[in-house]
Amino acid sequence: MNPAVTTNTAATDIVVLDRVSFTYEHAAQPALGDVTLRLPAGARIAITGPTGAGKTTLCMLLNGLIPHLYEGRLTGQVRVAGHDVARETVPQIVRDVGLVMQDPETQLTGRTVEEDAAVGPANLGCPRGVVRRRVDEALAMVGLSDLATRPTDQLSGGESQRLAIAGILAMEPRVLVLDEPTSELDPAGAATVVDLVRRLAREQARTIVLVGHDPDLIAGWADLVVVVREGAVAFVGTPRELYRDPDRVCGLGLPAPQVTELGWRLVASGVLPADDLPFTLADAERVLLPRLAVGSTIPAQPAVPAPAANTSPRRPADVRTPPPTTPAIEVAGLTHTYSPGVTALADVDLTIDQGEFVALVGGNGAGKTTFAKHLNGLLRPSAGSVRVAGEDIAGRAVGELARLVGYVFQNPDHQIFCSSVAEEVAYGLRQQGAPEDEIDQSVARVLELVGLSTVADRHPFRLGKGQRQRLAVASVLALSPSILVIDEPTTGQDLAGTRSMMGLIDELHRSGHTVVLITHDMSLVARHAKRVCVFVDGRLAADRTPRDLFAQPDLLSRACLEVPPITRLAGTLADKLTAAGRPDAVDPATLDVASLAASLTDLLASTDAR
Amino acid sequence: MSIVAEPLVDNPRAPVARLNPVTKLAAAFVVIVGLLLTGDAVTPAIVLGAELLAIAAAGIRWRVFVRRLWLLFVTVGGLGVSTLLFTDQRSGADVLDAGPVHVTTGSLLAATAVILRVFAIALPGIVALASTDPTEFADALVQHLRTPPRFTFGALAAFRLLPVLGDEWRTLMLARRARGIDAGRSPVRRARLFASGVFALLVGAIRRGVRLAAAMESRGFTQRPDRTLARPQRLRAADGLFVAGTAAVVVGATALSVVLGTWRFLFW
Repeated sequence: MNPAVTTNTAATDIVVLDRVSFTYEHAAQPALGDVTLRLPAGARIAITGPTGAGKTTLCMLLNGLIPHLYEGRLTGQVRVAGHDVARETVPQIVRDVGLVMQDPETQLTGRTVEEDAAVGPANLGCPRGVVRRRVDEALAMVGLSDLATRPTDQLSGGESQRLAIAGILAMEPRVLVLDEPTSELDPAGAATVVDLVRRLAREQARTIVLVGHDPDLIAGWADLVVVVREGAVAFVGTPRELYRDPDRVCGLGLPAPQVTELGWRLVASGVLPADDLPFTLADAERVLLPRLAVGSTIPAQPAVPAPAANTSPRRPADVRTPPPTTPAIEVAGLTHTYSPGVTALADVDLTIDQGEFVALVGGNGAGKTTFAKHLNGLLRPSAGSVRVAGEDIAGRAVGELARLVGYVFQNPDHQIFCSSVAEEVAYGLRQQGAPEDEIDQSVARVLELVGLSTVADRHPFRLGKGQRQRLAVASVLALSPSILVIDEPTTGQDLAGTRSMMGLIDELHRSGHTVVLITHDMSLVARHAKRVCVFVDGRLAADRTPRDLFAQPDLLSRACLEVPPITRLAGTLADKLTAAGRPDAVDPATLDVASLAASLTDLLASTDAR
Repeated sequence: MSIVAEPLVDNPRAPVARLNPVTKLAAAFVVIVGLLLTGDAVTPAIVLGAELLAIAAAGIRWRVFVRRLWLLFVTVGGLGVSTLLFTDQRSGADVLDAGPVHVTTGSLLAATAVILRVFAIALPGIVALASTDPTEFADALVQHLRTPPRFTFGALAAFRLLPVLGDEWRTLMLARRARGIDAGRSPVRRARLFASGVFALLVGAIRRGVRLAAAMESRGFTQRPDRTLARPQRLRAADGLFVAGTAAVVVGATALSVVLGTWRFLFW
């Protein structure tokens, strides 16, 4: 917590919403209904809640985009930094309330980094010298001073989003609203933005409102959490008040920090007092290390064990047992060059057996999607070969391969285009000339499988994003492919959406499909994949089990990946216990909360007994 | 779509490239007014010659320039052929008489005049846009022609998103192919695939446009052009001279044509 905030929170409320309701034009239901909310000046406020709960509506209400740009019916009173939002114009309000949105692409208007950062203060009519100073300060704050003259179209996603934040900071707003600023970034880009958000909280005295889903960030960063659900405020309190109660967190449909989930289990087992419930990694280490009688020095870098530690007796059998039949996919010497000199993939060899669940991971541009697009012929190798079910696919058309390999794109809207859900599923079969009765049977079977039978006649664009994503999977499944390639299926989804999508993928895997999942989310990898292929700079840098991968911090950082907090904690605890002469007490590469809780319950119980 | 966003100017310090964007627009306007009602071949030929010299001085990359003009070449070619075939100026000696196709020296001259005139009118506008950085162009419009900044910079931002739409189109087509949809050679299937792609692209573009508008509002863009000028676009003596020079070329070409007895009002 920021100590300065304690005094600031006593000051006047900077955001006051009094019985506010807003209904978008042509919408049947209000996006926000009867919301009353007061946010203290100078505080770090996190707004969270399921997708479609009204979080973005709330953000746009704070700087006047609602009701001035997005029209609808607004009732109640909104006052932000002294502005009456309904009566004043957006240019008046944005002098004090800055809003950074999700998509960095549409937020940049300048040719170069410094020109873009200057747009806001220039629009406010600041003298040229003041514009210059503000631009320099804002770029220094977001760490882009060295790139001041770089054209904006040459920035990475993370750099673009930091520039969007700099553009707003240069307007020196009293309230800074960040609406899911990392939701469209890869982990490396997101990490730089999260780091900036943490720094802003430390170094600036302004009120910061952050919308997001990441419980670890919320728990370690926010002074106050507001949970929005179905257009209403469902909770306001400190992160500790929120995450203390597992029933409340589950009831609100929120994810909790992994270390808190661990704490709930330890408290329930009676080996940890409720007052010691951890909320951050540092909390967990501080609470657990003395209880395990191994000291409480927290290392500067979270200690992840060396690969040698994998000789632990708890290590399960290697998943790569000899294949019973022909491999599903055999790739040999695969190289892909987009244009002369731009090699996206270099000499990749990989065999995936039937029924495997393989995750492809790596930073943006590492080659994982380029690789995946070769599996169904969307891209053709510049060199090397791809065999599917034992057959070289070089001469086969993509349409034909769709019956063997289903490819689900990241954005479902790219893949769906019919006027009803049922037609969407039937389209591919109809294109291939399947008889009508076979089409009807397949549609019914697939819709049942993905849980969309009740909305078969609905227009796809009237479904929520989670359902559209399931429809995209269904449209591919209709052709009964035995191999599924799924690109980032949980991007931008809340806990419920992620669980439902991953539940479906697990079910498909259990029913015999070979699953190739492209993802940035290491928690998903830990929970679902049996094998991970890491791409770095167009090469296959590693091919192993998730637990083996998480034991290699160097490789992870080269691939711009982050270890889940629970695995980091297990690594630290195992290190300390090994140094204290108990090397096998905790598995250093634990992937899930339940396993670590089980080990720690035994350990803490025996330590207490002694 | 990427060709539109490709930079044309090799040397931004070249004499014509360095002019104020508003000057280039004004010069193009002078040419349009001068040639709009001129029907002969001599006047546009002289103006076109001067324009080609100006293009050489604009630091423009010829290869990219010619590639970008393909639509103009097709249009002008079509105009030339239809004038040749259907003009009522059938004077002079017969050049070709093959049934319905009857070409005389008079109709050849009329077709040449049309081709030269369209080129001479279109090129200055294209050069003005092609030799100017889009941001400087928007700045100059706001500063000198007092266009609303929100509209001008909005159009500029939308222009920058054109290559993104190109990428989006490729992804849309790949995503459809991944579903086993292959139009093959059937024109009907191709048309349907194209139409569904255009619809999805349009939906995406509108969503992006709305987000762009929201972002611009949040950055304080207004209708009033009283923002601080980060990059003042000055009008110098060279700008005045350039417009005066353009007017002199147009007037001189018209005068020479009159003296030579070739000048003709378009509708006479």
